[in-house]
Amino acid sequence: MTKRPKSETALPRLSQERARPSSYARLAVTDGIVALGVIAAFSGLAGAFDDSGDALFLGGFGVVATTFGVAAHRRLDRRLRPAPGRVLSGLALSWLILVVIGMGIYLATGTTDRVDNALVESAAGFSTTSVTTLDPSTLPVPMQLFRAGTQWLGGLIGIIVGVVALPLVFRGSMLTGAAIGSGERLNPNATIAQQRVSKIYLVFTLLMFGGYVASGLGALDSIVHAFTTVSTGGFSSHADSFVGFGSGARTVAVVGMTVAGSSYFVIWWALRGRIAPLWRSTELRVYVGLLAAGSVLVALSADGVGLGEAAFMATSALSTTGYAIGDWTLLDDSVLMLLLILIGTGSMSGSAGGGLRVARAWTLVGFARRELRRQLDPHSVAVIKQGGAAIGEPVLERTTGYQIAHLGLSGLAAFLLAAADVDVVGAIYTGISVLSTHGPGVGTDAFGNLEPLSPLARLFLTPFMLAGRLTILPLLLAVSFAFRVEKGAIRRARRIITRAIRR
Amino acid sequence: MNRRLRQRAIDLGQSTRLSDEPRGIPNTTLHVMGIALTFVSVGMGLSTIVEVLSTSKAEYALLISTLICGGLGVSLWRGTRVGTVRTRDVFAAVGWTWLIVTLVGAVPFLLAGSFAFGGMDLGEQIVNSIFESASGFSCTGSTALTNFEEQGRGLMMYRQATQWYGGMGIVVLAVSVLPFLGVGGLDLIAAEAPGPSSDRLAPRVSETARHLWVIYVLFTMVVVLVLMAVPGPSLYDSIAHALSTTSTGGFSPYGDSIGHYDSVAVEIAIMAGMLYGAVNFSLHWRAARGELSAYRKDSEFRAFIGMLLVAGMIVIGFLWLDDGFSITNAIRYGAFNVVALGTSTGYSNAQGTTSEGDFVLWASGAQIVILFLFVVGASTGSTAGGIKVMRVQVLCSHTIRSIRRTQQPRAVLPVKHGSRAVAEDIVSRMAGFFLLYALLVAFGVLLLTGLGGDLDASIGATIGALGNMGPALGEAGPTASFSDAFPEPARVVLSAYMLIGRLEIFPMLLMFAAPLRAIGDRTRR
Repeated sequence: MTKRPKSETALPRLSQERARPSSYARLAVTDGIVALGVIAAFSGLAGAFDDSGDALFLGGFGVVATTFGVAAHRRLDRRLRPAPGRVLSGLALSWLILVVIGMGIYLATGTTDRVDNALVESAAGFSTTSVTTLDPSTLPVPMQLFRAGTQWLGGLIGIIVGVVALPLVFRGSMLTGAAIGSGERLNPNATIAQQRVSKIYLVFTLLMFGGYVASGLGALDSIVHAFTTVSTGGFSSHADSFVGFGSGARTVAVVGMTVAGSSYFVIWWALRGRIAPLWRSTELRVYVGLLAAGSVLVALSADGVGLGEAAFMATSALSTTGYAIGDWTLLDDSVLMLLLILIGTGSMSGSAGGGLRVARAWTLVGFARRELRRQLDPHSVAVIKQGGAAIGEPVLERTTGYQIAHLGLSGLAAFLLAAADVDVVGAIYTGISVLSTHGPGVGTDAFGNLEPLSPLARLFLTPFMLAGRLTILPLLLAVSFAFRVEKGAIRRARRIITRAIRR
Repeated sequence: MNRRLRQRAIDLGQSTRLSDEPRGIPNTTLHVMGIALTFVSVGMGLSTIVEVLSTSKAEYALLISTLICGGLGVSLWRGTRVGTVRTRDVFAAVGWTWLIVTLVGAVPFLLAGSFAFGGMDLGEQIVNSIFESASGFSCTGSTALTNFEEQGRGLMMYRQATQWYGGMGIVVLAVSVLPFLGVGGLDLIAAEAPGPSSDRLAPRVSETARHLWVIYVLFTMVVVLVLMAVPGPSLYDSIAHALSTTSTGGFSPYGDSIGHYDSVAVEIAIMAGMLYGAVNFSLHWRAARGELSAYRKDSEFRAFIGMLLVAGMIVIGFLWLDDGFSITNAIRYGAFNVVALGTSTGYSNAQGTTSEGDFVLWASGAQIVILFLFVVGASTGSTAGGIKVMRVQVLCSHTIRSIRRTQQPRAVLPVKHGSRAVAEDIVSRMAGFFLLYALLVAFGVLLLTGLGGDLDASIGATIGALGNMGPALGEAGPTASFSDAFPEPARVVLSAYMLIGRLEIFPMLLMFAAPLRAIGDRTRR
């Protein structure tokens, strides 16, 4: 076969411009900076009447950051199908940079003068973990809004990881929403998915704001709690969370946390009026069942706690939000264990919440049952189903690997906290709670105050907040990718040096 | 023999004598149970002799128990024969045997009034007796006893013997003696200790079982001799501690366990015995036949020793730097407790509740390491408990493969243990085991706290019971009694968990499968 000349086979160049550099990591970082700039600008603007110093700083930072981010974004080319490792390492890098910038803002505005406190506060914000080193009731309005805004942004990152990035990485074989129906999907491609998710998130935030205002909260409280409810973040404008709020606000919070802990795939089908896929969703049924069972069991086990209060505690735990209506760490040990199980299970996949996720937990229960049955009949063919669809072996393998990694990291977190002088139960509880992006528990206090912990213990929490937000397997994938890239770079550098020496 | 079969026998030239027909009701479960009870009654009988020759406090209790156990055992053994040996029958045989042996094994404690003090009612005495029996046969080592000095020496020797029986496995004992049980015997051995390696030491199953018991008995005798050579333990003490050391059970005739002697020499001797009992017995067999390099070549053995060394260094570091121990005490107490708990034996060298050997008083970091040892346990094919080191290795390898598969979906990535690839169904089974373990821990802690236990004690006790460790954290530490830390219903739950852990979950959860299927079949007919 004769080879045609290259000129006949090459695609015509559309433009004489130099090709723009492409990097998913840089794209993720610039997008993050733009979003943070918007949050900062909003906080500065909305809080301008309260503290002009902080408002000016935040407003100025917001403008600069947004401008820089947009300018940098235009210079980059967006690849439609980056390698899995690049997507996840890009998101991890973006998160780390946001945390560092947030830490800088806390220090620059004088919110705290301790670097460790600023770092932990920023990490808790962007990871939507309800732990704090500050007393929010003493913060000026711009900083309260900024603080809540970091959780709002962190929640959005979490949803984008679950709804956009992971399906892109795992090519539709994830448990997230794949089994609940046909028709127009939430995420036909990354760009449309990101737009739809952002719109739903924004509208949900506005609805929560309206709900809190209608329940009698002031404007500041409503904005802060709207931000931290939809993101399942749990920060409050008060040091004692929802203790001082009435039943109206608590009811709004319960509804908000329930929806925030639901999968965005489920929300999408609900918005489109498709009931059948909702009914078929095993994960949704298990989620609702856990909420109901958790509420009833807490009410039965805890002395002096009514069903409404129990429902609040159970919803806050399962959605991994972390709001509190009292010091629940003083309740009976059986209630603490029940809440820990809910925290560890976590919310639905494809939501802003954390934890192991209901879909994974239910799949693992099915897997355990199958293995029990296989003991009796090793040659049996047993299929594990969710929502009427069979779950393939590669997904099962990944899910079991995830669970082992999750438990291993919980153990590591517990060990590090214990080494930093946290008592055994506190270390285990806080380790699981932080990894699930919930936050408060035995070891801190019911309101997530990190004061009982030593500075070393607080610093140890930071990487586990990242692990919880990005979910563990993708984080390990990102780390292993970064490690391979670094190894490759070292190998290339060594080759260059060896060649230079030989010459 | 009915008329049709009789005619067929005549046609074939076979005997028609009734004595040549297989005797007994065909029921594998009852047959295995009978053999096991008979063997346990031998231990009861020997303990009766010890009691008569020593304190004479519980000789009638032990004698009556021997007669009950022996009578029941022989009746079941002779009155039944091996029936079907399908998988569900095997699980039923193992599960029910252990349960009935535990219940019958509680009778000596009940009749001797071991728990009849302080106004304890009969119900609580029964619960405590069953708890003690379960702790014995499952080689856990947790105790509900508080008045050790008032117990008869024969009864305490019986208590030690329950762990010795449970260490190698009473079903393995049955398989080793009766060639009839060779059919499906390997399934029975594997069901009693369904770890990843049910190594065959010989071509025939009954020989394999016999070899295991030979190593076990010889090892016990060596430990007796070593303990007698060390100043401190008497002949009685040496035999008693040898029984619970080789089985990695951890019972002691004394309330303060090995701390009673306050002797480093005794502790070192006991540590050597515990380490030996926690290693795969097939390695000991191969070493005895001249292949000493078997230890070095085994990946699990290397990982187990490495784990103990690292855990030991971390704990010693915490004790020295955090708790202010002197370096010698840090090494002494740290090393002993790490070995005792890493081998799932559970001995303590604490002298009293404020002693440096009481690990519940140690720094939190050291206690978390202890908890990690509770979970992992020791080697497969040994008398120890826990998840087992090999499973941890395989599951870690599985997790790393999950990450790599995400990057290379089409790559062929086998899970390896050492240099050998592990079959996918075995990886699946181990993952399933680990999941069941995690679910049982969560459920167990919830149940114990709901029944009135403290959170820290409940976490330690649940993990400790499933791993057959012995002591727990908090109020159920090494110097405490479980009767003070947990109410009666919680002790029942822990007794069940001890048996579930000893049989590595599946047999106890599946023991109802055969009877339910039989009922289902009869209903359908």
